[in-house]
Amino acid sequence: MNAVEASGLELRAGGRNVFSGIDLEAPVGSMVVVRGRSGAGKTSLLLTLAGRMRATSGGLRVLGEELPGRAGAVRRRVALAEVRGVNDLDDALTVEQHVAERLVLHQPWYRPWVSKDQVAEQIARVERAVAVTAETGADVPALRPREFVSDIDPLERMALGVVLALIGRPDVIVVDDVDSLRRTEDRRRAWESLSALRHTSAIPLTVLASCSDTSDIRWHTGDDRILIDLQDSPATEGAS
Amino acid sequence: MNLPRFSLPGLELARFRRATITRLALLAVILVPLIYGGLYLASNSDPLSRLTNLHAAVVNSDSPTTITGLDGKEQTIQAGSDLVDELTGPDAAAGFSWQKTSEADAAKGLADGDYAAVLRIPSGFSKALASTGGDAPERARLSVTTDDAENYILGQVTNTIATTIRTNVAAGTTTNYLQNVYVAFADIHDSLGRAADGAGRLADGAQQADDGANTLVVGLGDLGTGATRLVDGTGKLRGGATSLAGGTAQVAKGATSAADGAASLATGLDRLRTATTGLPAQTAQLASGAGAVADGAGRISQGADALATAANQLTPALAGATQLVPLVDQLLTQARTLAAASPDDPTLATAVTSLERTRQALTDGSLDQVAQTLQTRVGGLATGAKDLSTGATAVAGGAQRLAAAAPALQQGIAQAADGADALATGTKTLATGSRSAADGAAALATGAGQVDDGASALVNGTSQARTGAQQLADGTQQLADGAGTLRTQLQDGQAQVPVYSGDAANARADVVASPVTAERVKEHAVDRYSDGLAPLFVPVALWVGGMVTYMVLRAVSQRALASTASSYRAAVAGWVPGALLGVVQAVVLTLVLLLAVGIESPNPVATTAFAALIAVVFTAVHQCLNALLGGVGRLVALVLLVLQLTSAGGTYPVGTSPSFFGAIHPFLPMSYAADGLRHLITGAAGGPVWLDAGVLAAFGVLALAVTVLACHRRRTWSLAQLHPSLSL
Repeated sequence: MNAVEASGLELRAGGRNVFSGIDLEAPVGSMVVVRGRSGAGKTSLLLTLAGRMRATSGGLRVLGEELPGRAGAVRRRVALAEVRGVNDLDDALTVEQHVAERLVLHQPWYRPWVSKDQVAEQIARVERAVAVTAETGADVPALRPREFVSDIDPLERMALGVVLALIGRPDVIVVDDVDSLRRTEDRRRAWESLSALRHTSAIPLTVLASCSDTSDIRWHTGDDRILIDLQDSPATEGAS
Repeated sequence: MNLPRFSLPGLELARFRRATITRLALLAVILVPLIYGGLYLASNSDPLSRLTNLHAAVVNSDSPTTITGLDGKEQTIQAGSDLVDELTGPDAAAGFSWQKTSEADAAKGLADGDYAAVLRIPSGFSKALASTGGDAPERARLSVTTDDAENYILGQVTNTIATTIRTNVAAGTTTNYLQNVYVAFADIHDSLGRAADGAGRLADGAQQADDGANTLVVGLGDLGTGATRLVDGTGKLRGGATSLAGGTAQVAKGATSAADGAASLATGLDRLRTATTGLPAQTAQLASGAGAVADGAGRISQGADALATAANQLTPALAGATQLVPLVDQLLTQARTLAAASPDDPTLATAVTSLERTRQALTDGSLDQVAQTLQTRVGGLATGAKDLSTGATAVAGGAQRLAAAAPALQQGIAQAADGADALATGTKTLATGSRSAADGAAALATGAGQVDDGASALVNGTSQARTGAQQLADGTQQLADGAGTLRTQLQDGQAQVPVYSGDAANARADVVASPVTAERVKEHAVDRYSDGLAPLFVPVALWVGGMVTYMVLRAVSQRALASTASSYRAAVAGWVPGALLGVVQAVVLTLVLLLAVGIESPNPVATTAFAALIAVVFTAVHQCLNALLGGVGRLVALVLLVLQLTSAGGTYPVGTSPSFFGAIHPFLPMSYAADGLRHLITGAAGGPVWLDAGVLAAFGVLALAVTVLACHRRRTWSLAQLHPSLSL
């Protein structure tokens, strides 16, 4: 079953093509990497695939739901890690507060608060996930709950974004602009960790990520990876 | 030319040129003050002139009353319905649009806010108006009721309206009439006072007149007595005068006689004087004669003696008597000679006569008788002759003496004649005088008669006068009594005509000056302007608080929107923090207002709770605007603020603003917030509060629902959102 099926997907805005001619079939548990220069429409494409932006034309099904008609259902199952300009983390909040916030959002409306235990439980869950990824050599640093977001380093921040996205137990996770990590080592660990993360739960996680440079990605055997290159649009590269 | 194409201010503004939304933002910046100032001033342009847009109820419980006017005509006063007609009439100029209603409708309408005010005309209104001229003047009372729970300012404004109505009533015809009545009292009172004074003086005068009349009666009694005595006197006078008249008449007569006598006397004396001129000579002759007489007498006597002897012899010689006749003739001749000698000697004369008769008798034959008689007589004659002789002797002596005295006599007679002349003159004068006296006495008698008559008349008159005076005294007594009664009655009357002084006068003056009071009743009254305005400004404050809250807070968390959570969770997540802040704002504001500023509410807990509800709802509205419109939502919130400020009816009722504001009034939450708070602060019934709370809650639910929709929409990003042109 494909997590994402796109054909001739196109977005036009402000008199220009943001992206066009996107054809994609991404199975569940695969990783889709969108590559392109800054301003090439990577974020827009990811948001479109996540049901959070409406394509101008073309066909799109995510997790079997037809978009844009079923966008709400898609949104409930496709989580965004931090996407700059869309769901920025708050520098004034600590890690654990972000976790708590996300937890509250996923509780029923009559429970507008969470206990410390719930937060701790989530943190522990994250630790377990991190431990899993560490086995793959990702070596993502542990989150310090009391740390303010402004004080953590970029990799930790990305990790937090991913962790928050995972709290809703999504089927698809979107990670934008991995290349924003300046250190090559960080980028590598991020890619490794994302790759490992796909298999930490019972249902395989589909990862949609973007970058401007794919050189840091270590391609593992058996990885179900799909590269969408927006630089040479409509250059679609399938690897198996 | 090198025009300066770029400048720092120009560059700052250039930011807004890129997109339409940013140009609109500039326009909004320009227009917001206009919207504030324009709308606010427009809504308050002239609220008082639009009071007629508001309905007010007039409840007339008055019943007409009838009074008697100055002219004695009965007059019906129905001031209540007059006032209603005036208020509801076409020319009414008393603030509101008045409608005549029943008490129940009025009370309900006031409580519901359908009526801005209720004017109640009490049942005794006309009667109270009419009482102004009576014993117990009473102000006619009107009552104008407003409800601060519906509007505070209106309650203040209604004072003016109440004054207008009161003045209108006071200026009405009924009051004019009553004022006339009242003014007339003073005149009547004064006049009665003057009349009483006059009657008093009249009574005094009548009393004096009575006293005088009594004195008159007594005096007339005295006069009567005196007049009676006078009549007696005048009666006597009359008799006396009559006698006097008689006497004087006799005197006059006597005097006349005396005068005549005196005249005769004088004449006689004159003749006597004349006659006696020759008296001495004659007396001398007389004396001679007398001597001769005496001689003759002696001889007579002798002859008589001889005669007597002869007479004695006569009888026998009677026969021969006839022979005597020559003797007698002789004798007679002698006697006649004697007589002629002494004519004034009556004896001689008589003797002559007798001799004649004797001769006659001797001749006629009757001598017998005569003889007898003669005999007697001769006896007597003898005697007489003797006497004559004696006498003649005496005469002779006397005549001699007379002759001697005759010159003196003549002289005396002359003197006597002179005296008699004087006497005659005097008696003549006496006679004249006595005649005058007689005339006077007659006049006196006449006058005395008249006096007597007059005195009698006086007696009668005084009697009548006394009777009259008695009647006069009775009359004046009655007059005095009557005048006294009149004074008493007038004083009573004056006492009954009201006279007002001091407080009573002031009270009446007050009542007359202002016969109507309009009692102002404010239901659920609040004391102070701040209490009256709090219901408007607390919501305004909370609105501003909500705006500020969502300037600080994000209306909806982007993370929430981007998350896989449901939209309403995202919406609630954005609203709850704002709502909590709003509650705190409301509680703090309310507590400070209640505890520090001194706003009073009979139910502070409910007031605080309601304020908190307002804050919660307002934050929902602000969140909604922000979620729906983003930064533009804050501009809209500003505009909504002024729209609500002007249409909530917080100061003047919204009906006094242009109709636009009335039209939007029901569709804005602040209208209900202000209304509910006003009811809570004024302590009015709770029903409207629950209604307001319900409507407010509905606004909140609606806002939240819209927020959820907005969230749902905003979960789909656009390229413009990713690269925003303007961040507000």
